[in-house]
Amino acid sequence: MDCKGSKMATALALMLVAWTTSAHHSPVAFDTRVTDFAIGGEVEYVDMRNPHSVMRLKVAAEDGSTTLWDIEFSSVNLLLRRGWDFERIKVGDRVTCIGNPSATGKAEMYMWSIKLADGTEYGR
Amino acid sequence: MSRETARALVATGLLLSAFAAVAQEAPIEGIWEPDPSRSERFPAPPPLTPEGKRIVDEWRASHDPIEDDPGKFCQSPGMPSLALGGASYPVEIVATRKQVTILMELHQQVRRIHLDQAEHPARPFPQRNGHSIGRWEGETLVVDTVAIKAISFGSVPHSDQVHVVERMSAVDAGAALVNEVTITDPVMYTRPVVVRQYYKAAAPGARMLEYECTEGMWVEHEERRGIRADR
Repeated sequence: MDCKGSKMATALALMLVAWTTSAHHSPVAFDTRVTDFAIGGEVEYVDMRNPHSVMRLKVAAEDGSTTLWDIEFSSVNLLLRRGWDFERIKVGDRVTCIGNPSATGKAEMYMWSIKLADGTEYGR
Repeated sequence: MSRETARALVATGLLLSAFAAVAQEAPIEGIWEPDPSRSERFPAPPPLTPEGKRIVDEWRASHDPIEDDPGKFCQSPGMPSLALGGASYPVEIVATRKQVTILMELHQQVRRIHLDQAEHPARPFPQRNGHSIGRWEGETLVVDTVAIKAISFGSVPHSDQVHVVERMSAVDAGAALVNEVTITDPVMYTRPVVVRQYYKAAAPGARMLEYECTEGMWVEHEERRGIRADR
């Protein structure tokens, strides 16, 4: 699991919590005070859409278990204008998602930027 | 020249003058992007009347901020919120002699401003965006909107008594657009609220995108029904 050091404990704790299928959350669902929460894994599902895009990320723990994370991010319209290349974010790709963690302890986050395996980064 | 011919020429002249007027008013036409760096914000907290506070508090007490988020269900806030910027999404203004049409990318909203009606209908049907009539004062479009359906959520909760007056004009030699929005709602607010919303002219070649918003709800429906193939 690719976690920034200081966020490792938080991420491990959150991984124990079941993820939800809810696809669009109010900003109050996320801790906007933390903007550099990062978690890496394999894209299991991604849909660029309105009002918010969604991704399901398969995150592996050191003991070999995996957790599915529910990643919410900006609308497809705004991502297009920010230059995100959707052809480069596909199922099976390894990516690191960076943004706000869940405010309620769920395996969810709001992604503001994404780093691809080759180091390419798309952001706001 | 016969009297009929003279009348026809006069009528043609008036028609041409009208089209020329539209051509002069073209500065507000085009695609504009909200400019938060210059725009004012609706006051927070807003100047609620006791009744307004009761309505807002009641809504908040009965709705969970996460599970009952109207945006999750693609609810457009309607007017007057739409006049306050449309979030980060562009708007396109198209002017004809009879109507100015504002096409808003967010929620694919359309505002029709009738230039050929001096008054609102006696009993306009309440809708989210209300009924708008407009007139030109020089190159400034003055818009009057009533018959807006009451909603209690969003940044500008309002009653069905809300009345919105807008003054739109191009500034900075056409590089920007300003819309001075005056919101009056005696049920919700203790005083008229004036907000100036600025827009930047979109770069050449910019285009509006569609904003289909219900795809996610359909996916979740398919998941609940167990009929989604790729999940």
